[in-house]
Amino acid sequence: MTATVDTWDESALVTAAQRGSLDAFNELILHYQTQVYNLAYHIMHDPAAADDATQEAFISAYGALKHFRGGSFRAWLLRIVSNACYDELRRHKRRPKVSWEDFGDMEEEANPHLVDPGARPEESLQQMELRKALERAITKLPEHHRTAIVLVDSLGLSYEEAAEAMGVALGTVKSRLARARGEMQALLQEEQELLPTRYRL
Amino acid sequence: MRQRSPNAVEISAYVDGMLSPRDVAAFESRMAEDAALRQRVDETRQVVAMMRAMPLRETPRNYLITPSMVAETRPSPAPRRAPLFAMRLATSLVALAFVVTSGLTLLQGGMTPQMALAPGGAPQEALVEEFVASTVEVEAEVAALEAPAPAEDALSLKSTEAEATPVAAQGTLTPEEELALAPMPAEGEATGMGGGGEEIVEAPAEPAEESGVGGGPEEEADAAARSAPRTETPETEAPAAPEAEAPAEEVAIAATEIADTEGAMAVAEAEEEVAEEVQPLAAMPPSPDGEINAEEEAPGGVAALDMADDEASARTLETQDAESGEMARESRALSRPTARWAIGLGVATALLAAITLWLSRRRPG
Repeated sequence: MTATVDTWDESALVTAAQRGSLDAFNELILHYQTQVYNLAYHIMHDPAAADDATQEAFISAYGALKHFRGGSFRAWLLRIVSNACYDELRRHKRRPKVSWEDFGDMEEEANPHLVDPGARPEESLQQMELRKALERAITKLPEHHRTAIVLVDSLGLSYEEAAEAMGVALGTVKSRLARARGEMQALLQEEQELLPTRYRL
Repeated sequence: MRQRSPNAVEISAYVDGMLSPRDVAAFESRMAEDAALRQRVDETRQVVAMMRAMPLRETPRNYLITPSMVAETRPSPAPRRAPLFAMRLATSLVALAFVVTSGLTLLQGGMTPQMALAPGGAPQEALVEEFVASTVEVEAEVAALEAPAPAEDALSLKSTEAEATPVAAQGTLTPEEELALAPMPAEGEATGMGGGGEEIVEAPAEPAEESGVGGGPEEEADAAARSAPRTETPETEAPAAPEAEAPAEEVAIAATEIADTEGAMAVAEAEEEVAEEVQPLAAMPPSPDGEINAEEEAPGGVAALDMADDEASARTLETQDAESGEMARESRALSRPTARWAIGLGVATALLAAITLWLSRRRPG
């Protein structure tokens, strides 16, 4: 039977999952799967690979619940998926062979969820242009810089959470994040004509 | 790509509100004076704004887990640290063992065979003394045969008092006793086969001193006999009993002096020379005195004893060489196992360290 939770209580769900409740863990999956998938996507830059990595990450996380000793469950989860993605990249020596532009509009038209239902058409177009430009720039960043800027700026993690998700010191996160932002600024400066008007540098 | 500014971290932290109030005040005061800094801050804020505005990709599906998926759970990522920790621990332990075995190997290699097998040094010292004494006796014989007349006269004068008594005492001693006491080199060599070197050198003098108490007129006769010039040939020395005894006693004293001044010398050359000199002595005509007979026996006895002494010296040297070789072999044998262990542990340490480093670099982030 599915456990219904009126209010979001992460600690209670984690405790229940650690005691063997698969339903409680699925609740946690539904809450964090978007962020986990987006991180996997930015690392792998391949929708299919990101899909596999996300599923594998959740299965591994359920098996490793006994090792979670408190703190940010989101950061713990994101670390599992990032490790899974790096392992997959090294195992298959996969590189971003498929760019978002190859999928382009075709995938977006097929997936209604990629479009904010509440947004106006012009805003949706701007958002799509923005995302394209940003994703193009993100793929050009070094691996660790890319992870840092996605965790903090895109997914909204704090410096401490990002440090936990990346398994590095706080100073390392600050350094990588600063470098990533500087590199992003330079990359976007080169293609600012492709940016929405209000976002041009 | 624009080069990164040295204070990019500070700008990023300021944009994220991560600076302390004091640092914020300082940063803003600098911004007020630096237009370029203000521009860089604006650009950073814009990048952050775009990243935050970028919509997240919706998942293509839900990733809910079923019991069947859980049944095939892969090893969790948490144990990722265990192999690395185990490798680090193993590397540390092997490195420690390597250091210990290396230290043992060095300690064993620094020990000499003498240090390893001579706790009090007594056997070694005894061997050295014996060797020196035997060498001294041989050299004494050589010196007696080759020493010039004036030197011998000087020695004879020097040893008159000491030597007269044994000469006088010979009149009261049996030939065997004379043989034991008077021919100093022979006696010393004979006793040197089994005794201490210092004792051998001193022994000849003792009888002379002891027997020197009782003979007055005889001493004068000896002194007169010895005062006569001598030649260097062995034949002229041998005929007179006192003269035969005197050279022997003089040889003993000379040997003592040589031993004191020169120390241990090569045995082989002395042995050859003594062997050559002993033969002429053995061919000397008999003397009227019984002492000469004893003295005649003495040269032959000297030759025999010399040869025996040579053999003893040779055996002593062989024993020393064997012992040294044995000590060296034992030292090497002692160090081999530990040296091999040290080498093996060193190689193992290097391999474990390389694996540990590789494992640590495999980890992302």
